Amino acid sequence: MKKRWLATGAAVVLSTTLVAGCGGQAPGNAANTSGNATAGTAPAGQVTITFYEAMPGALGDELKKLTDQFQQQNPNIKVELVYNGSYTTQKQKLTAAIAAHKPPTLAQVQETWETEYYNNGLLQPVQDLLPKETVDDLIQIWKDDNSYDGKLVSVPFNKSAYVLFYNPDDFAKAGITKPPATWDELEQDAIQITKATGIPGLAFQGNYYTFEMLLRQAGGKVLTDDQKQAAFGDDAGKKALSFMRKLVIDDKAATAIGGNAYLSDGFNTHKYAMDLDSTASMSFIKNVKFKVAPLPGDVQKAVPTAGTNIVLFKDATPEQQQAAAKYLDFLISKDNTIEWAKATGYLPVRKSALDDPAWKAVVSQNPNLGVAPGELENAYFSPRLAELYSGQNDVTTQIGNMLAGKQSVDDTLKKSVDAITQALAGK
Amino acid sequence: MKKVWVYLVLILLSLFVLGPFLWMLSTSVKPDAEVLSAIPHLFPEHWAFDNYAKAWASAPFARYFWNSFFVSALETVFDLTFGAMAAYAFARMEFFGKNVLFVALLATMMVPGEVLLIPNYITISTLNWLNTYPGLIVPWLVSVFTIFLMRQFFLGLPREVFEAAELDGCGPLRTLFGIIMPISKPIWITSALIKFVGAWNAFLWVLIIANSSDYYTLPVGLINFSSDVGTVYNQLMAAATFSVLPLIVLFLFGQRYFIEGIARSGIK
Repeated sequence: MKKRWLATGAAVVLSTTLVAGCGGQAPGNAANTSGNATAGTAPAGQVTITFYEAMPGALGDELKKLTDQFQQQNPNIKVELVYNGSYTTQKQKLTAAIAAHKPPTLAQVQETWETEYYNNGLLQPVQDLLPKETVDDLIQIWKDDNSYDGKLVSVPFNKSAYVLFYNPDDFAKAGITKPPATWDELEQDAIQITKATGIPGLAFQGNYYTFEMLLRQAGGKVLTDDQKQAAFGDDAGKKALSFMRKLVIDDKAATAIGGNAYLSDGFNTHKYAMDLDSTASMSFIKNVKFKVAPLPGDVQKAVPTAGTNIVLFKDATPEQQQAAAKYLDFLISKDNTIEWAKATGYLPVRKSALDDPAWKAVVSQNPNLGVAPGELENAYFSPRLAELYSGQNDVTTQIGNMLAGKQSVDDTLKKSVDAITQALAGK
Repeated sequence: MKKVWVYLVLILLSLFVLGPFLWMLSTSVKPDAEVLSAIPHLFPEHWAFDNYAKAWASAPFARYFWNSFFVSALETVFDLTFGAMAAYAFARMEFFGKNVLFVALLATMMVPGEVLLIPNYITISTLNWLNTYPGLIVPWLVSVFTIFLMRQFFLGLPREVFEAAELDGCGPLRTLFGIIMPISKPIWITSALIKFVGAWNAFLWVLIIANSSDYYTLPVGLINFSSDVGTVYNQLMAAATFSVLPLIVLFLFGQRYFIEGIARSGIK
């Protein structure tokens, strides 16, 4: 009896799959009419542009909202948003599309990919496509970050900078009245909080990027000016590594988290009282009270930036390029860059936006949003070289070994310099 | 007494296997504040069933369900049909170079899928099949594993069955679909389950080929919940739960055959 029931069940499952197979033909045929990446000039005056983006959830909703507004104002332009998940999957999809000579019109990219695409002649610089007042109004660090050979190649979009996140309750418990502004204060505060609360005072990513930040704060630099050699095998490099090691091992006042973990998750669950993280993490901290402050500095201030730029591919037709430029100009208009920053926690990209009453109103409502723009004069971006990638991974491994107490500062520095040197040599 | 131990070990092992699944269910009904609480609870203090509604509303999941179902079903049906035919040929027919061909076919299983990603993409793009159902489905209509599994099973069937069918005047197709397939239920249900689950879970190919939510499947829908700076865990787990539900139902139906199929395919 039971056997028969199972057999019938299986038959039902199989037959429904067959039925489904027949019923599905209609949408299958409809598929062929929707345009692919580069074709997009069909009806008279109508231009379609595709935009590969990686903005999930609420960020994606905000991008859709802005895009809809743009299409209402420009009925002859259709923007197809293609959402591709994380930056990793975005890169995979772009790689395939470029290999097939069917890149999208626009795509969000990280700087290292942008350099690669630019060097391969795949990109159409936007300098001459955008109005001059837009280009001139970009905040300097974003302008530099988006320029190659003196030309604006891409447009800054979802840009963020690093700040110090702290839990004001823990500050109160430890009797700290203002956030630390220097390395010494950072260290002392972390020690005090650890004593007062029992949780580590500070957390940071135990990776290459944290090292680069500390290195620059200590007055050093990653590469020589011609970008051909590692330049951090000096006192500044040693000072940066020593500071990390001291915080974690000697003071036992900081914890270094690994590559795939989010700093915001630990902050959110009150595993530590301060962390050094991107402003974009703000929307993920919901459980605990938090405030942000400018990053502490040492010999000098140095603030890492993150996020993506939007590039325009050369394969686009002249009509698509014009339409794409119009869309980009809309996305980073003064009003929209403020709207975007307010909704997402990313930063406005235009100078005029920071002086605008609308932005000042946003900041007075949420003072946390006002901190990072004030640090941008000290901001930097990491070397935009794809070939550094393997070397950076090696440096992260070396730092991990050091923070686990398995390796001295000197050894770590030497091995890290070797790793970057080899990566630059393409090994 | 010995039996008690066996059961004890089995129960522990199944808890180990079920752990992540239970955690998924548990997280899917937790409010934001409890998702990452320092002391983890299996049962939330406040139940947040609206995570399911929020997750469902955050992307066109009804469409994703349909796409997953349509793509997986079609791939499974074709895979079984072609797989059975090829397996029959390799098991019961004599032709020049049979063994060499079979080994060559098996060798293709060693090639990692990632290596084929870009060549396949270029082929599909040349056919103008990007962002279409054919682009999603056609490259996966045949799987070598199905051929292998079925061939092994067919080899184990008594030769007399085939001879009797032949004596009664059946051609190869009639023998295969009229006589052999009905008595090979365990193996084709096993193959179907493996194929269906694989197709249901496929991620990278769908992501690369589809350009709009019209053609996304459930796994691609799940990427809506994580970004480079954070993940909305409770909604992600809610969406993961309703995404695997059909597979669980399918397994409950096919489980018996599945086990039998695996156990028998090795016996000659």
